Amino acid sequence: MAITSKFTENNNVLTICVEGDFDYSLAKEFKSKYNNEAHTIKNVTVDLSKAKTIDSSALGMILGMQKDLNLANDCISLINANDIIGKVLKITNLNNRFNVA
Amino acid sequence: MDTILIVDDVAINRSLLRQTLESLGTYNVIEASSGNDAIEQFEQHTVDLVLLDIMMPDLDGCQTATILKEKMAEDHVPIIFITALTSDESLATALESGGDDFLSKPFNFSILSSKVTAHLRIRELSKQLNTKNKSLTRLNQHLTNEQELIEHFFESSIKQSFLDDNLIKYHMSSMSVFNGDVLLSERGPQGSLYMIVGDFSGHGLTAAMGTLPVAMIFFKMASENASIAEIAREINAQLLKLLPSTMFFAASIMELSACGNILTTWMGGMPENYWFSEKGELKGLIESQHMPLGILLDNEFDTTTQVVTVEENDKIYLYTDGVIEAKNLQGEQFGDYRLKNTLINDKHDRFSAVLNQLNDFTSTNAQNDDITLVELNCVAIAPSENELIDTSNATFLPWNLTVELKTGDLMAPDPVRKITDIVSGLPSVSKHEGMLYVLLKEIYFNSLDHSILNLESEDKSGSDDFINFYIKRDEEIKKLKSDFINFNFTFFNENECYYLKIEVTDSGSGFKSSKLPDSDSSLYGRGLSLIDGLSEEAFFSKDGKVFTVLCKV
Repeated sequence: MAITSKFTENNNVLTICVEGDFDYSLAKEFKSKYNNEAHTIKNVTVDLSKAKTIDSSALGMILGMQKDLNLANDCISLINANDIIGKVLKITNLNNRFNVA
Repeated sequence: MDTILIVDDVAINRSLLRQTLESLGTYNVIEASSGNDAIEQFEQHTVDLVLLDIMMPDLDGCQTATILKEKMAEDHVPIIFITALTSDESLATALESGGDDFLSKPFNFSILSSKVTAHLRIRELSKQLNTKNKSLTRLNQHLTNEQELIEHFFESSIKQSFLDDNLIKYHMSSMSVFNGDVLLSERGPQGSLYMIVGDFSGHGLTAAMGTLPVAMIFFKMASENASIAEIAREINAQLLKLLPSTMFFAASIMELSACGNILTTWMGGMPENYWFSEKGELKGLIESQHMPLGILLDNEFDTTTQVVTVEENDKIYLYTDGVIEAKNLQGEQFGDYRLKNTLINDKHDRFSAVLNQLNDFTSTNAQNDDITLVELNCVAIAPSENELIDTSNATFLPWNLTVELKTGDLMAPDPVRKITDIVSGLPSVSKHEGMLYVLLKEIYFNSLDHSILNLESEDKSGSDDFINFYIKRDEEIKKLKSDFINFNFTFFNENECYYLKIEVTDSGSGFKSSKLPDSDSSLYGRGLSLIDGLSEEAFFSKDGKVFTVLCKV
């Protein structure tokens, strides 16, 4: 299982944990993690502690999720990025858009 | 058969005594006619009992007894004086000289018999005692050797720790030779600092046993740049397998980023860590969120980590429960309260202050648990000497490499991984493997999507379209006939910098840059800007048919 997720605080906060290479091959699975609860989610944390690399389509998936859930920038956090992913987030300027730790 | 040595200068006395003894039991009786003769006989035979006349010319009985006792050293051979003397004083002198008992002449038959038997029995007991002593000494030596061996084993398994005193100050004291507390640290390949401070339940050798697998997992995973969550999960899984159910491992597992500004912690079963700013204000506590390692099944295990942003020269204090549970002579514990107060009140050197306080408090009371105190100083981590040598001294030869992916390769799963494996196998680029994979993937899909398959990025504008795009791409790939993507890598040195140039050509129509989106929130079009950001230079030439990317390595 490349993606695991869990809800806390009355299904308002969703944490999605991605494992391995975070890329286009996970697009469908990634969407399935939030799609059914789309109306209750107020906050999403993407835990990248197990992700090794990331590609541009993964960034697209995160932006797509923001659109689908209609969330403000600061309601999305990307945490535990390794140095490689951190650099990608920086280059694409997503580190300024979302909470990155 | 016991051997009895009779010493008397008068032959008739010896012969009389021999006859008496031989009538009492089966003894091997030997005779000596003087003190010197007795010493000689004693050296030649294994004597079990000496019957010694006191009044003799040259060496008398007392002098002879003293010399014999010296010769027997730890081996006890009883000496019974045969004497006509009756004064208490002379008997006392005789016994002081080394004799064990005496018999008065003329002999009382039954007293002679019981004294000889009694002294031979003592001799037998002392022989047994000696044998046991010797085997105990051997056993003790053996155990000491084994202990030294195990100590060596432990030391070498943990000594590779990277303990830069600019970053880590520590105090560890174990209550026995082996320590159930663990402090390990290692610099990861990306320059970050990995650290474990932990405490096995119990102490001594049994507790210390667990440190071996922990050290092995920790050093291996740190060297692979694993995440704190992964390390915690792996240690938990292994300890669950190895430890008896009564034993577990409380631990803080931390990673301080290479810039020294992000601290990631997984913490289970440990007392809270104190976090101070450079100016000495308490910025917060980092508390355990989990159960100790080695208890939960892998599917129950929670890898959630805590991430805090720290500032330069912030200090984190970690300790094992041995610190707060240390007792004074009255049996009172050092406690959270004293620890916290000491940390808050001493602005200059909190680390030494805590140790001094603890030392004063426990005074002469014996330590009752392993104690570990660690101060982590949050600063940027200096590159290791090896890394410095790598960049300053190593020279690489230039090379050129071409990889062409044919239709079959394009259809196979993850061709980019295969190319990355080939190229990153070369020593000059091996340390950039992860980044190279990210970059090549973007280049590859740019060629595939926009030149060969001619898919439009615009198709990705909504998140469902986005997914459909990838489904469509998978279908289109299956229809490929005689297509290829060609990667040409050139590694070269220019102005003391190393570069990797990647030139990509493919069987498609070439890239048309007319439809690039400009909005930041657009779901697509990020690939090219990512390539641009990861490289020194990236451009299309020959009407979009050649894509060149130049990277500094």
